[in-house]
Amino acid sequence: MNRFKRISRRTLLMGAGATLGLPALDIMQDDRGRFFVNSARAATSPPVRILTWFMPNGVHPSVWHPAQEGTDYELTALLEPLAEFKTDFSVLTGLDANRESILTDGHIVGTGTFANGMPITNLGAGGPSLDQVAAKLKGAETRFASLVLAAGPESTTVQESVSGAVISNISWVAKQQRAPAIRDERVLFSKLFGASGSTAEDAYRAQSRKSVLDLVKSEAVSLSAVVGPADRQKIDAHLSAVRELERSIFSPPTNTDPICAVGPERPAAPLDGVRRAEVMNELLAIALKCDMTRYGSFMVTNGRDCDNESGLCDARNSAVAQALGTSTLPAQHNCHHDGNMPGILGYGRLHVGFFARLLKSLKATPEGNGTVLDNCLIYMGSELGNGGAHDVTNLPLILAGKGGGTVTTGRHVRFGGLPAARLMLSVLQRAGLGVTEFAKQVEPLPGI
Amino acid sequence: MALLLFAAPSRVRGARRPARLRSVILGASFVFCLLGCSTSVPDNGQVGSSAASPTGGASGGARLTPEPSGIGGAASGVGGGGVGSAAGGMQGTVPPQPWPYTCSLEQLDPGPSFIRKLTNREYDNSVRDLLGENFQRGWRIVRDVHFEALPTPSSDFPQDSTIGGFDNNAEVVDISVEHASQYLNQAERIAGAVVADPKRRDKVIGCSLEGTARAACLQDFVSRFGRLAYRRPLTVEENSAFLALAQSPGPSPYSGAQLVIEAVLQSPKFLFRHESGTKDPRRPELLRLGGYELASRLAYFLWGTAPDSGLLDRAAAGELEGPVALANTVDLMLNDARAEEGLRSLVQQWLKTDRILQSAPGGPFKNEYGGRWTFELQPKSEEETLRFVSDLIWRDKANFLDLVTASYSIIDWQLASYVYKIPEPSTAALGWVRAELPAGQRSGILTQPSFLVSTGQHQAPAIERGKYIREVLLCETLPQPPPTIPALPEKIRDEGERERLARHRTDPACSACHALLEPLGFGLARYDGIGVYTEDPNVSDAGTLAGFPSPDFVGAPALGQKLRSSPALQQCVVSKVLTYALARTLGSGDVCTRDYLSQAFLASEGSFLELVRALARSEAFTYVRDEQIATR
Repeated sequence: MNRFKRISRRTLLMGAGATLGLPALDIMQDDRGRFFVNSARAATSPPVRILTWFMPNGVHPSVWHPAQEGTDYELTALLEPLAEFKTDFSVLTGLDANRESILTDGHIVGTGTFANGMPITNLGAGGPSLDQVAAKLKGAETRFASLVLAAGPESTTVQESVSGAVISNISWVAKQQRAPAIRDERVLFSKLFGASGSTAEDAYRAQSRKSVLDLVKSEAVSLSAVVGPADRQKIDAHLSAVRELERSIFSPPTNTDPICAVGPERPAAPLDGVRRAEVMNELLAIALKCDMTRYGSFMVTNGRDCDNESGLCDARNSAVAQALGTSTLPAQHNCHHDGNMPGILGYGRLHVGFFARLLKSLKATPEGNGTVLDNCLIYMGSELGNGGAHDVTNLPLILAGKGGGTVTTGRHVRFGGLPAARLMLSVLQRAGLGVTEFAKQVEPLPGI
Repeated sequence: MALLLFAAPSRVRGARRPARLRSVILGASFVFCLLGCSTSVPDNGQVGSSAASPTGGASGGARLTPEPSGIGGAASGVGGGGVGSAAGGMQGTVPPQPWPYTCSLEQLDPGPSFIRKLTNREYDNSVRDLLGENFQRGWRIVRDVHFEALPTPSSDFPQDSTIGGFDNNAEVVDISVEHASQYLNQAERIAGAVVADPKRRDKVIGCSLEGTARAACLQDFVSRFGRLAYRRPLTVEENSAFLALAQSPGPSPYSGAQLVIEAVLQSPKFLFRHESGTKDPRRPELLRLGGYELASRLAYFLWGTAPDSGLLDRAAAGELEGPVALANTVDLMLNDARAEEGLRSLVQQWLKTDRILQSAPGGPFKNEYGGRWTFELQPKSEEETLRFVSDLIWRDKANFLDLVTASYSIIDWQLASYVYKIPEPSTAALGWVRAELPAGQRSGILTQPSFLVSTGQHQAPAIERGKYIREVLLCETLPQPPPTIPALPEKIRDEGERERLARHRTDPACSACHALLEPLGFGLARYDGIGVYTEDPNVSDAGTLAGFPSPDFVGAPALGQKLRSSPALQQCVVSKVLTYALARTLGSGDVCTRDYLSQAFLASEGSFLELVRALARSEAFTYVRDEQIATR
């Protein structure tokens, strides 16, 4: 149930004469007393996009949490890269990860529950993530149901008995079923804009591809009929994957703007971890602006990355070391455990900087009465409230974008230890998806 | 940009035969020992030898049936489940039974079985064998920063996630639009490449599609290629559906065949391995795998790839049914060069040999004892361990448990002079050679750089080394870390690593787990971050294998002997192979099979091939639970 009673201007005008004397803005409020910026949200209003956005290894509380609450708060060192967008997001503190699992490693718990809020298991997350819930409900309205991206590799296991997927994925289709991320920018370019140098396909090619996929689907249907229930889930997942793929292949881009049709210039060589994160965020913004998809996620990389002393396994290390004017710098994970504050700040600001670029790109495109960013809801954060202590309470979380005018940004709101899943529920509800329950939560977060 | 190639040298075994099949029937002396031998036996008792204790005497008596858990019963409370406890389910074990016993059909609980999607590696091997895809496995350096696997057909697929150490776990649903999209890309690329290359095309299609014989050739191609790809003959419906696609008009005579290849490579019947089995009246709730299904299981287990035409012929002829015929087929398969690659992949995943490639090449590797290191040693170190383990698998009469005790390794001149500090072998020109290492310094994988370097670059190598030994070699499940952890204490000036970590362990939240880790890892203190050994008398390599009987030891060789004589190591070997073969985590229903296999392994004096043979012929491998009944 959508808890928000939206009253359009037309409804208002058709209503009782008594209301005509009242200032419109007083009336067009949701049931929490907040009004809508754009009161005429009819069929033409831009869609609300939902993203989840993850940076690894948590923060140090002293450099993340603002001292003041409300709109007049001072940006902390890690939030400073977002200064330009201070009115476009809110900092939400005092929200906790789900800790009901028998697994307790903070990186595993914090990442495995990050965007789904359910207790994790050895084999994966405990439920679908909010981006995938949205994709399932409304993803068929765009060419791609969702876009799941990560700039780091899939992890091998941190604990022998625990799936490596738990720590290197935040998007989950269902319990223990990951939505695998695209981790290579070349694959992403091909997906969005076609294979490099590809020419227009002739009629034969299009027709034959259709015949092939028809046969593939009928093979899936006949196999599904003879397997047991657990296996049927897999074959049916394959069948719906093929259908989704068909939809993206056979529904040509609707937006003919060159940036939507052919995209930005492709890098000549594979990118390093820093450039890859930047380019992926740029492409994510383009995909949202061009309405190729409305839902997605991005992971800088997983926590506990580069877990060796050399710290050179990722370009992020050298980028931060260079910024700090040092020749060697431990990996971010080790900086947190060693209490290496310059390192903690360096990595943290680099990651928040990636996020700033995404916001900048979304804000640069006008849409409706505002910008694309105004029509987004971005759930951004990290797996640990305190990277050095592996603490999964008081998570560093940001809600960016105004959700089409359904949330009030520009504030620091402090909560007293509520489940982060309530924020996830709020995001789904504010996007108008009619979700009443998420991760067993039925109460959305108050005061956002 | 530096681009250096390291192709994994593939050893051509040619017609080398594996160790001769050994009977698992034991001599009378062994049984006598089981019943009456309680005198102490040396710590290094030969496992399975008829003269000495099968499991060593450290725990005060010979046991034939492996302990419920290697160290689970000890005061430290390690693991709790012993072997397979990583699965979260295998608790306890069956009571000791008189030898020889089998995990007979009546006792068997084969546990759940799941339809299996080809792993990326299996996909690569399958399209290589089916369609002549040509690729090389190995590594290259990218931008002087990290190693990257050489491209294979599956390079752009979502990576398989690892559970319990292996990439083939079938318990979770792992299929998505990203998979479908990449399957399509590769199907179209491969099909296009096949028809564009006359040599490949002729080999795959097998007859001429130009001229009068076209119709017959299409039919022949569809049924032959379909059978190889689906790993069984096509049904009538499948055959006609593919034939219709093959006959559809297109720009070239090969267009239809090209579409068939595209469709097959995206079909769930190729991408997934489904087993329907047939009822066995003796156990109506179980299903016995049919010949073709078993052929697929065996092929992906032993070869890591699809069954070939010959194996499918054997399945059709009933040569996978009945213990004798099945045994012969398994032996034939182990005689094939593909078996070496298949088992190599098992070992690679189990021992995580590629971890050394995840460190940065040219990084400031911890080098305390005066060795030299160059990034080329990273792929070489992995290769060393894989060759060493291959030798333990394939050499006649080799005891696989030498894994942790061998005083030799298989090395090249660079490893010899940089790490092992021995004069270059005179056979340097020959590349890889088996070499005795300096006396008393080395002990199997415990002292090989693939392990010592990948763990030695961590901020506290003793912790990582202890963790590896516990999780990977002993199959223990370590206690969970506390929800919030204190930072590793800052180094106090002049304080040694032992003292620093000892302060860490004073926190009770940490000590439960860390008491198991670094006191064990300190036993390897004579090896620095690049695996070089020091004689320095100021270095202490006293270690403690907490939870084991007489836990204290000094140095790697002593640790190796302790592990070798422990039932936990040998059970762990069995559990790992079983986990890989069944593609799922083990549960309580697997105890019977594990114990049966442990005994076969012991009785063969540690023959890995004997273990693999026993497994491939076991009921656990040839039966599955009827999920229609199980979930009712």
